[in-house]
Amino acid sequence: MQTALDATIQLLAQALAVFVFPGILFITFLALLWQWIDRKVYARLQNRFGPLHTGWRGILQPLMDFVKLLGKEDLTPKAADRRSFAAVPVVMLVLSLVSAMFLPIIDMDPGTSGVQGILSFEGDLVFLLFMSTLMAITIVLAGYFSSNRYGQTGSARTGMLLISFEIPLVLALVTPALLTGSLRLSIITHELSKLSPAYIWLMIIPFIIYVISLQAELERIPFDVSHAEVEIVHGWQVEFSGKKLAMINLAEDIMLVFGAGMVTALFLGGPLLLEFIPIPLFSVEFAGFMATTWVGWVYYTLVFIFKSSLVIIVLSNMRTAFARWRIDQIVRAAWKFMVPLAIINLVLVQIALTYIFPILGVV
Amino acid sequence: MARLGKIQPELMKNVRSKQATVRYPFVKAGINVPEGLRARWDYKVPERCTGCKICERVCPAEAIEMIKCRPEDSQTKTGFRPICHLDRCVTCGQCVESCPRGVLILTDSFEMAFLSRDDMVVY
Amino acid sequence: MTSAGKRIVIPPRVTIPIGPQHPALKEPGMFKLTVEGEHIVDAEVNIGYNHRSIEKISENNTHLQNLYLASRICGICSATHNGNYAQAVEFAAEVEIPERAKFIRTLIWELDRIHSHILWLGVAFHEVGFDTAFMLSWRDREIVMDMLENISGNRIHHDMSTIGGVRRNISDAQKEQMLKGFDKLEERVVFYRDVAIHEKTFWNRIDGVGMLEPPIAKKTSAVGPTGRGSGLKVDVRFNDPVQAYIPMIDTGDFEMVLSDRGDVAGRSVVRVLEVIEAINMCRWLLNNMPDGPIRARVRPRIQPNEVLARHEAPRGELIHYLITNGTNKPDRWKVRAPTYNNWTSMAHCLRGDYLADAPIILAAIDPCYSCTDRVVIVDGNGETIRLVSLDNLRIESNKWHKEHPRRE
Repeated sequence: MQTALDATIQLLAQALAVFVFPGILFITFLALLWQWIDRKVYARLQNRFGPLHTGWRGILQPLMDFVKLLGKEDLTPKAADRRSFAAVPVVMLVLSLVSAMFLPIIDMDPGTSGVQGILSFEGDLVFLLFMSTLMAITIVLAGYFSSNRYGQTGSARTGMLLISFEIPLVLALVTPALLTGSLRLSIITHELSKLSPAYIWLMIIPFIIYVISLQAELERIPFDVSHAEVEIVHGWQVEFSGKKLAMINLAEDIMLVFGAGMVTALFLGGPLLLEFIPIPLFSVEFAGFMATTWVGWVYYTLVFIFKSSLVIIVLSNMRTAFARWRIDQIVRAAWKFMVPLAIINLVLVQIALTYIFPILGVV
Repeated sequence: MARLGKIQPELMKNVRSKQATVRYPFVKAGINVPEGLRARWDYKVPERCTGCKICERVCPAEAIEMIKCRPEDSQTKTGFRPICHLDRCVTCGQCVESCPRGVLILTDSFEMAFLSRDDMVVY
Repeated sequence: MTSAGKRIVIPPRVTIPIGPQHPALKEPGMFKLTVEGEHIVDAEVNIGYNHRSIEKISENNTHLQNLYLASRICGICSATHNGNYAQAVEFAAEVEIPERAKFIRTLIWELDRIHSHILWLGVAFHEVGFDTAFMLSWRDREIVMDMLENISGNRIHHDMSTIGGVRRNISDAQKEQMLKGFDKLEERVVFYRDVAIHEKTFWNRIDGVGMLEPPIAKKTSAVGPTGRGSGLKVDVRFNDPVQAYIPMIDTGDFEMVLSDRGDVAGRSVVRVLEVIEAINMCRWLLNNMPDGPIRARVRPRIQPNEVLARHEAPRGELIHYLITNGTNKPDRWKVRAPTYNNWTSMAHCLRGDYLADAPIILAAIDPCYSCTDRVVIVDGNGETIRLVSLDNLRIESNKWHKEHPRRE
């Protein structure tokens, strides 16, 4: 009887974790919050106000947009493949949610060292890369399923983006994995936080490459060729309307959460902030207190939100400062500049690890 | 020559400065209405009107109509007075210019949205 | 390896319509682009979605009413149509207007050019996704809009010109205010010039795109900044000055802005530099404005005459051809707006470029659709729209005129 009760409570707690707190509901909340921050920063840099009237300074505007789109007419073009067309938004939403569940927001498994996400296993970094590529392929399919010329052009451009910016993205992620000797997101975060500050110098170039590639992966200016509104009328999204468009928009926002969360976890030290102060009070006692008690849940979440929103601000600033590049210019920039930079960076990291750091005596 | 991020200093300046947007329908302050704005038509000095119909003739949009003076109006010599249909008015101000006795005026009240056409007739 | 001969793989040709409703176009017009992958191999320009029969309406209006009708041909260059019609009627009546009126009319034209070019710059930024510069440039366009509103009492439809002069005077206080505004505006325009030239992402999008070689520009009779961006010396202000342009050009301080690049970048640079030139012109006009009356009296009945009034609108040479017949109404009024000339060069510009460049090439001639639409025959019963070639049109119109002789 007792075991059955325990099992039920365990199950409930896990369901709560998946559906409510660090899971679906919380990620959706973050997605809408990030969209608000993005819009506010974008507007502020352009000397405008941005959303104002729904909630406190328009903080509920993304939610309102989502709800409004849910109530709009849902059209399927005659020429489209009906089932695949209807499946695309769902697939995108599921893919993005599953990816976001790997983020180490709070410690779901206190037994293991490091902050674990809801889902976490050895080699999940590779799995996440696979998921983000799958997302791009879904986008390609979305354009072709809609049987629209603009959509097909958008799909072709997404494919071009995929082959150009996926490679620097992957190569940038090799450096943290190389430094820690692990492919597990939580372990990488945990190990990186214990390394000496000298390793920061090795992380700067991969960080820049990753942020730029992330911008391309999320298809934002200057890389938003695949849904350039004035050229091909939102590209692959052109035929989606109503609920489907709402789901696609939400999926894109969740990908933003995922991307910013990856930057936070891999390059900015994850949900740890005060632990980096080299005083035993913080680095030992405070860290231990946070890792074992429920206060850690609040603290880790707040730190994660803080760091991710910094990343969002950087991404919004990039979106503001540039014009849209043409697809051939993007491919050229990627292959002539980003990929060589990523490879050179890898070589540098290897040289530093093998020759320079031992001489300098960095542990 | 060409480089990336030329506009970035300007963006940083924008962060510090006040927004350029005017929150107009909610906050009326901040909109500057210049002197002599041509907006809503007004039948300013009815006593001087003679009902000569010049304004009706010059109006390029046929917005001014001459009607028989109602009992509550001041009676003109010909027994007619102008009314303006704001839905047709293009606020060019030719009637004001052509009126020999300075009866008409274009005021600076520019909020001219109405729910029905009947509300848009200015007596 | 079974089939003999080489296999040539050609990407399928797809026809992509841009318009009549498209986010890149602010007004209806249709451009059929045939693309192979991302390359445009053929382009077809269809216009004729916005015919408003203004010329026909004008025949039943007095000249005074036509002034306001003319100003509503186009929202952005309303002052040019308005002023040019007034000028045409004055030519027909053979009256000379006061000096001060000439200066004020020219000032309004130049202010109109400034706001039109800054507006174009914002649109160009928007067409390549540079929304920040679009927002900022339109924010600073408000300076000149406020000036125009201050002088004329309306933001868009200034309606300043009237037959025989202008309708409002410029006070000393307004003059001081404007001179102050010009300093700020010039600083901002110089900044946008630098952004357009030195921002890599924007410059890459306009550099070498939409080439219009000078011979082809001449052959397709490109006017305005489109022609000047290809090195053609077409500027009515300098070639055939009217109004206060005559004393202004005679000072020799002003030069025609030319670029020999021939691409979209050339046209952009010409426009931005022209704004700076126009600001200097406005300063000169304000500082040298003579005193005196602003209006001469012109009798409403205009003597029978046939005149051609030319003026350099922001988009190029604007021609108003007017036949008067002794009454207070025109017998025939023909407007040839500058965009109409530039359409023909567009198909050439589009060919060979990328699909992604189509919006900026379309925008580069600063098209004003509502100025240009003339002849399209719509069959309401068959629900067809027919574009008529020039020869057929001539035959049809000759037939029409034979059946409907001109009223004497």
